[in-house]
Amino acid sequence: MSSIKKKLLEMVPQLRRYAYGLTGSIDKGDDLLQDSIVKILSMNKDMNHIENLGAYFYKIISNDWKDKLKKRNIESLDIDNFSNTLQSNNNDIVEEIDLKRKNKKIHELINQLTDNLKSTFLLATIEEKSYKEISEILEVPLGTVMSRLNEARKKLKDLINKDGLNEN
Amino acid sequence: MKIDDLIINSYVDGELSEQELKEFDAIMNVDVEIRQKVQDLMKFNQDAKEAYDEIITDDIPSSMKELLIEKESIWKRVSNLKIGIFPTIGSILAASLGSVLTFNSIQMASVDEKRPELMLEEPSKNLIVQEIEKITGESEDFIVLSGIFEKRIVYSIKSEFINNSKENCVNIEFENLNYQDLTITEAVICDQDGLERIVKLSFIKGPIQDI
Repeated sequence: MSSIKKKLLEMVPQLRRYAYGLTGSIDKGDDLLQDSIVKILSMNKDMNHIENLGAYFYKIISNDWKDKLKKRNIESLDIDNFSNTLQSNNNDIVEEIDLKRKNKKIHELINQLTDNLKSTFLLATIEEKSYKEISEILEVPLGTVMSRLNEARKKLKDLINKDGLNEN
Repeated sequence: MKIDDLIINSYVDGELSEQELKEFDAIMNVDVEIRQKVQDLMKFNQDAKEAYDEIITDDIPSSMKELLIEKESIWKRVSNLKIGIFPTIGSILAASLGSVLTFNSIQMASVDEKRPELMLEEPSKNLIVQEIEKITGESEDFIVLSGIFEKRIVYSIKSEFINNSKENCVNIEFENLNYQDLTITEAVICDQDGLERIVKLSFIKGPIQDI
């Protein structure tokens, strides 16, 4: 058990980042991660045989988040609605965006992706996981990982083009 | 090689094989549009990563530290302590038995050198006996000890205890812990996330026979 705790402790920063990305908020992300850690620690099973423990932790968090979404019936906003909001609220501010505002904007854009696209994008781009690892974590075929990732990037690109983030 | 968005993604994500990589690089060297797409994607990936990397340098929330940082195990404490062990054992027993136990005689070096000898004061003995009486109604088994069929009772106070790894548990054998016809032989105390519990209490009905 202590080796699991040690590994988890080492990975907390990365796992927090992923949970933050999934939930769109640091507090909610921390709650999600905390619940996942409790779940992992309470699993009465030997984890020594698990080849990629890191990927396993990401998988637990991903599944916990899916469960929470089901329970709370949270649904992602529709991308078109978000685009309209962006256009109506952000006519001239893009050029003045500083780093923090740019980061916030990126979070907002990514948070508009559907959960499947968002988790795939976060794992590939932010967590720098291989397609194979993502396939294991999300329990979907490799081809699905590639198509989801492509779709996520395409949608983000569309949003950014409309928003003008690239001009910054 | 036909370059499409999936291939560009795979290139940027480092998923192309060595051969594919060579082909892609060759095409990108002459195709300005593809080169631009790759650069844009890499730039956005970098921006996105930076946007989320802020959290990486934050302190780990204390609630997570509580869960994950190993406290000094009981075993280590017991091994290091000499006389001082007994208040700890007393408090652990007390926590389990629901009252304060007191000891009037303590002789021990350290647990790994010599088994502890202790005697309980009357009120504490009564408490243990009461607990044992409760226990014996719930669980018992028999073993052959010294060729004599004796009753040995092992009771898991917290049977669902999940962290029963040796490193976090200490097995304390008692030499001289008797009350009436009961000889308490062993207690296993474990530390789970900083909470100390008796997970096993063993005793024999009647005096221990020499083998």
